[in-house]
Amino acid sequence: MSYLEGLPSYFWLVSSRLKKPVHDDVPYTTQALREDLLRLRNAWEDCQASRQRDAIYIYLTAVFDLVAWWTAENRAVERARKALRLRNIWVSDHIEPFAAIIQCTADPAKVDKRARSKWSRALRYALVQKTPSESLVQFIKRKGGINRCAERFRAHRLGRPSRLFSSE
Amino acid sequence: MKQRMDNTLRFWVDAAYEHIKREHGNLTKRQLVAQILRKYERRGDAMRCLNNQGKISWKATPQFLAMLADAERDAEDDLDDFP
Repeated sequence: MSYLEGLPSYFWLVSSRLKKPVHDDVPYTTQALREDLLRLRNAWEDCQASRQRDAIYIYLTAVFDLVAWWTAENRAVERARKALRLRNIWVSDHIEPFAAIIQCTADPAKVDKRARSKWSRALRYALVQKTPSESLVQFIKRKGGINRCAERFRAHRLGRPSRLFSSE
Repeated sequence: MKQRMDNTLRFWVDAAYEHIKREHGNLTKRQLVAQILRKYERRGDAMRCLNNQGKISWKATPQFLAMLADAERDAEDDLDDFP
């Protein structure tokens, strides 16, 4: 193995033979989606192995970051469907991307449908209300935690103030 | 449009670009960087995200950062072995 500044070539070497047509943009491939799902699965395992009280935010941040950029490209539902199919999970007509990705990457024995729905609502609330410069953890804590963010999203969707936070 | 990247990923993408650019004189830097990012993303070393301005950008994955840290430790150990 050759070395560059003491590091294995793996880190800098890419194939010099480009056989496929070359584009300026970078298409999001199925293999890239698989890698993203694997990274979320690893984040899930990391948070399960941790004893820290806030460990779940490791996982929720990873889920949020992925779906947020899918949403920015207006492709979240389509890619969430593809993720479900890659995991051989039945795809319903009406899927919600955050819930779908949680279903693909968290242990179903530990995250039931109700928890999935709650996390999904909290993340959707953050997607709508959070500024890009604030971290997900800061935002959720500032808004009173995961349960309260889920409640706020329900109120936001119904177009009326949350009964818990009617001052907003 | 220029690809936005964090500094770590930028360093390695630039290194890869320098390595392959001579063999692809017919391609622009933008095209080659796109190919490098595609390769890095496929092997789980680069990921897309939204930056502080809400724009899509690229960054090194936790896996890539861990591998870099391991390689750095190995290099330091090798240095320690020298008399």
